[in-house]
Amino acid sequence: MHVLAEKAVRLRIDAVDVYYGAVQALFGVSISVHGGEVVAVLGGNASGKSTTLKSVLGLVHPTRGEIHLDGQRIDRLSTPDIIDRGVGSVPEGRRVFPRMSVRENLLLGAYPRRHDPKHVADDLEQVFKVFPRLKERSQQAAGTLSGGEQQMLVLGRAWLRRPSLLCIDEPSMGLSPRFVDQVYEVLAGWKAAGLTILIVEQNARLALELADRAYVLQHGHVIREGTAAELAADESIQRAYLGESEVA
Amino acid sequence: MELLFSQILNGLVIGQVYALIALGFTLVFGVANIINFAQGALFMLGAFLAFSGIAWFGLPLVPAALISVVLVAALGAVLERVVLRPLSGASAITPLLSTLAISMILDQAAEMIWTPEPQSFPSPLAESRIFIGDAFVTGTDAAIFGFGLLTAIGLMILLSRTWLGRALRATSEDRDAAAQMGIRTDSMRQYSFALAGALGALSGIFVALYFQSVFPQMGLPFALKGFAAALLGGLTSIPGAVVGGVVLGVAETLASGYLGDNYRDVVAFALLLLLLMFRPQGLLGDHRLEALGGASAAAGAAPSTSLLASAGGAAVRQRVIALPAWGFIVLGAALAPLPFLSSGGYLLQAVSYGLIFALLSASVSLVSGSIGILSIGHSAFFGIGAYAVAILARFYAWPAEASLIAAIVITSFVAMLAALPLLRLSGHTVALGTLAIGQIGYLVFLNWDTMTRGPLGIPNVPAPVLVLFDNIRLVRLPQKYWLVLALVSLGLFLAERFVGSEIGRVWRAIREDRLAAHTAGVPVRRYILTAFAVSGALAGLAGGLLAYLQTVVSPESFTVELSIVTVIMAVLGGLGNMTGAAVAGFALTILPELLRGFSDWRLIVYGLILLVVLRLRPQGLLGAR
Amino acid sequence: MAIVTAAMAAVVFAAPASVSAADPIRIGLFAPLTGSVAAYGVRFREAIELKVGQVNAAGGVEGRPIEIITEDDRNQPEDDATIAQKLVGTPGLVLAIGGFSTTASMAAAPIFAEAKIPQISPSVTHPDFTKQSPYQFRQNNQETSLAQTNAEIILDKLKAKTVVIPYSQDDRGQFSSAGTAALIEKAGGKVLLREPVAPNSKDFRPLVSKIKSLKPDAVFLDLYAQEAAILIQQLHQAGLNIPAGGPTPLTSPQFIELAGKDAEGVVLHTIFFPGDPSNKEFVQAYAAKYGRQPDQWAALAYDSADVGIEAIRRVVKFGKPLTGEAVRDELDNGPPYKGVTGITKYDRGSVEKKPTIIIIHNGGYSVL
Ligand SMILES: Nc1ncnc2c1ncn2[C@@H]1O[C@H](COP(=O)(O)OP(=O)(O)OP(=O)(O)O)[C@@H](O)[C@H]1O
Ligand SMILES: [Mg+2]
Repeated sequence: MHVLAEKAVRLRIDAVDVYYGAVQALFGVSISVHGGEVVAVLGGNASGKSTTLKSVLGLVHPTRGEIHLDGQRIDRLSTPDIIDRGVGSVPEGRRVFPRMSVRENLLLGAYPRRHDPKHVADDLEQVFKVFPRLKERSQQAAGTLSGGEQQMLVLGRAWLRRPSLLCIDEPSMGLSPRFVDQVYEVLAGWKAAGLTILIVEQNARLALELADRAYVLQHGHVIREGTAAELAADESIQRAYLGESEVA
Repeated sequence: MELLFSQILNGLVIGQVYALIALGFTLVFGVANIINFAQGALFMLGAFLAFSGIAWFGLPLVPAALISVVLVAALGAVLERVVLRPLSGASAITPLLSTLAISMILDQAAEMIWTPEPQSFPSPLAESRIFIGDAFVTGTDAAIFGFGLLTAIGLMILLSRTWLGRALRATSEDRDAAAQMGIRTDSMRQYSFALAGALGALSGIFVALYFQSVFPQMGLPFALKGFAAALLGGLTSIPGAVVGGVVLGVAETLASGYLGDNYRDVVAFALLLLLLMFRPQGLLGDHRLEALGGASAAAGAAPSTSLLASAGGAAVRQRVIALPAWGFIVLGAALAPLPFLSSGGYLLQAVSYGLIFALLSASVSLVSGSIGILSIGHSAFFGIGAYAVAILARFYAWPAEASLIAAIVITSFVAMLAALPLLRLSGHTVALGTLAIGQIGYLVFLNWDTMTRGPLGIPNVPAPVLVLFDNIRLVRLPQKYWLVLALVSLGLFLAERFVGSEIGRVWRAIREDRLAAHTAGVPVRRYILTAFAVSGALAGLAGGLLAYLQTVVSPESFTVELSIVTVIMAVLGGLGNMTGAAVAGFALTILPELLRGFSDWRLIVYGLILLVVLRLRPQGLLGAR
Repeated sequence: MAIVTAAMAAVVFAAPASVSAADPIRIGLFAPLTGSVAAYGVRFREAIELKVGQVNAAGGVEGRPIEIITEDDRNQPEDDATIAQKLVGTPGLVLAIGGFSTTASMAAAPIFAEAKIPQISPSVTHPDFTKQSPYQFRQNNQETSLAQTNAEIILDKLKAKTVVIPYSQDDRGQFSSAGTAALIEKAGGKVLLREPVAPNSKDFRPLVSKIKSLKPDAVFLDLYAQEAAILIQQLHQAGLNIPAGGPTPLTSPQFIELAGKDAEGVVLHTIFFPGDPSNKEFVQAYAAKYGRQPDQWAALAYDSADVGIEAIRRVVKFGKPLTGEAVRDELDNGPPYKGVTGITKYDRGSVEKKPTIIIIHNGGYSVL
């Protein structure tokens, strides 16, 4: 937990192959995340970003390679078992529980901590402080929230897990720039508080601003890795993912 | 006035029983998205286990009931684990069918263990009663009422206030997302089955107390009412299930009291259809979310109206084996010499039935597969065809050509009419809607004395006379066989042509995504009605042939059991696959004949074969298309 | 699957090889052995197995044993037609017993007629059944004569001027209740209500409330045992203790078992009275083998088998070739036969047996 441990590798994805039926989605992907670090996984559509996250979360199981969390192998575990080891998830496409109320959705984030109701209640108040909009709508069915509100909801839900590793899949998807900025502000705050984050993004500019290090995926292969600053400065990355050359 | 009061009181009591059964469905449907047809069997087992506790082991009622509830809950959990969980990746229809197979096995096993006969189940509370004028309430009624309300309230508290309840609901709304919250979704499904089993057992015991008897066939009729109540209430709403049960109970009691007991079920199921027409989401269902494209759309998955789609959203596909349309004509020609190869009539009779059911199964597969509206009501259409021919041929001496065409036209028309209330429904709701249609059909056959002769049926249907062929009378079995063979081949040929045509493609597009088809400018309603018209025509032809072959037409041939069997055929063949439907229809009609050697075990073996096939080929023997 | 089915079919449907004189004589039995009316079919099977067992133990028919081919028709007409074809294709089969309901029996009738195999239905009461062909026989009285006795019970034994008649909505109940009601009205009585009870319908509370509001002198339970038991219990729960009568199906001991003390005083009629001394042997043998009292269905099936086997015996004894046709002729022309349900003497396939009116008393029956 302390200075020494923070530098240690928390998550190690090691030469992982993932198949969907006959289709191979990941080819020998290796990624590591150190304590307190924010790591971004970038890439175009269908490059395998979400699949990488899913393999960490146990939603798909690699046919080759290994995944270790805090030194223990997790690539054969079920999703709830992995969540129980302190992982939080913000799934792709948000996935709120549409007919349940906003409050209930948030509480579900704290499901693994259900035996500690006092702290859960305190944390819920915290979330409502960060996202006052959610407080106003706390009894409303989550399916009726706007896309941006839903994104806040799932961020709050994941935070209530009080994870030691947070996996986020494209939090900017389908949001207006104003909302995206808000989301990233929240994430920056969590980073400052020391949370370890593995984030998948298409919006490379924003992700590289937040991240310490990043990996670039293409057709299921890691084609680049480096510190966020290195990658942000790389011209080929800029051309391919930052979209600046097209605009210019 | 006094009578009205008594009747409403009567309705409230039986309605509470329905509500308890409906709660079991709602729970399983809500969490596991499975319509659990085995709920009726669990209900029956609950009653019988309590009976055995009392009669065999001399236990008092309450401990016997408790033991029974626990045992049935455990059985529910075991069934989920052993039979349903392995199918969790398959399309929604596969587990539904498995629950049917389970209920077949359990019902038959109960007949073997406890004999098929009703047995006495005395209620210690029956003696105590209170009179309010002419109306009365017995102690049993009060117990049913009290426990029913307590259970409903308890469930509501459980689901809305506890971690378990929230986890159950989250699992029902989005399994993958729930797993990412750390919820063990498999256990949640298992809990829901166990809870539903417990509720089933409890309601079974109450029904036994109410009627002071238990009987192995008690499952299905009450299960049907439970479905109807759950659907009335909104299928996933706990208070909805209670309200649905009570509304159903009161409505049918009033029908029974003021129209006659034979109108009870007609009114119950007609009420259901009517409600579905105007309020497809049920009495207490949530309309707002439907507007968003249903729960799954709100969750980000593609809105699918199809039961063929797998739980994960993407349909698992198998290789499809299918004959071209002309293949049915060739096959028909190949089967023509059969009468020369066999001496006795047994084979010909059995094969003729097999052919008729091949056609009926294709008819079911056409709506259930191509257009994605699972039909559990085709017995009604089959029956209309049969009655049309029986009446026209016997009382009006029509020739076969005319009476069969009339059967086809009438059935086709009725099928279109019947589809009207279904147009706004999709998924499981529409399946239960067709169930109501099938029940209404049966009840009309049974009650429309002046037309159908009611329970007496129409015997002595004359042999078919073909005016176009020199007035030849097809008296002998081989001749009837040839008639059946020729028309079934032709019917299958036409069915395959439809399915393979542009119309068939549009049907499948509607099945995959009704909303998208609609926005793409497809006149969805017209296509659905066309599908019902074609399917009705095929079912009408099959029914007409049945009337000629069997020479007796009576209501018991057109019960919900028949509808269930034909759905099994259609699914087992591969939905939407006419070849598969025909093969499965034929094979499953012959199979019980082949299994006669198993005597009492026959239906159990049949159910086990079904389970195994569903496990090995979840998309049907020849693949769904 | 299809190929396997076809192959199995070829084996199953293939007719066995030829018969010789020492081979068993076969009798077919088809009845519901599973499903909601299985109780009746099971009574048939028990009684017939008892009878055939007795005959075979006594050396069979002129040295040839009798073999029963039993098939379950689930009371479904489509099963009956196929079973009938199977039975007529069975070598050495010269008699068929079954089925339970009118429709089931009628679906099989044309096939037996065409194959010239006589068919005896133990239970069917509908007049049309024996009009199908000269090959149809019955063991039960026709509904028309049963209605006579029903009316006699209501008017003379229950001393009722006004009556309600709930009836089971099937071929038997519909015919029986209509006939009974007509006779009552003709004799100046009043039928306040004649209402069908749907199959599977078990909740009679609405009916009970309705009956209570009509204030009839008596109720005639034209139902089967389970429904009648529930109805009479619910009537008594409602505080309505009027005299009650019932038709032959209620002579099943099941009625007393299910209704318990509520069955006391119900007046019934039967053509099989277990207390009759001349039936003692049958009742004892049946009870010894199956652990329960025989009911009228068992008795009718027992007599069906006996009448049939006696006809077969005569054919063999007279040295005629044993064919279905010869057995039919012996059934039709044979001497009157005294069985446990009375005297069988066929007149165009039908019988006229003398009913006994009984009352349920102390959990048993006594003659009224
Ligand atoms: N459930 C699935 N079944 C089959 N193939 C899948 C499945 N999920 C993903 N794939 C395939 O795997 C590949 C990688 O998909 P993935 O979802 O990981 O891409 P992504 O990088 O997240 O893309 P996007 O930015 O569009 O979300 C794609 O080709 C996709 O079609
Ligand atoms: Mg993705």
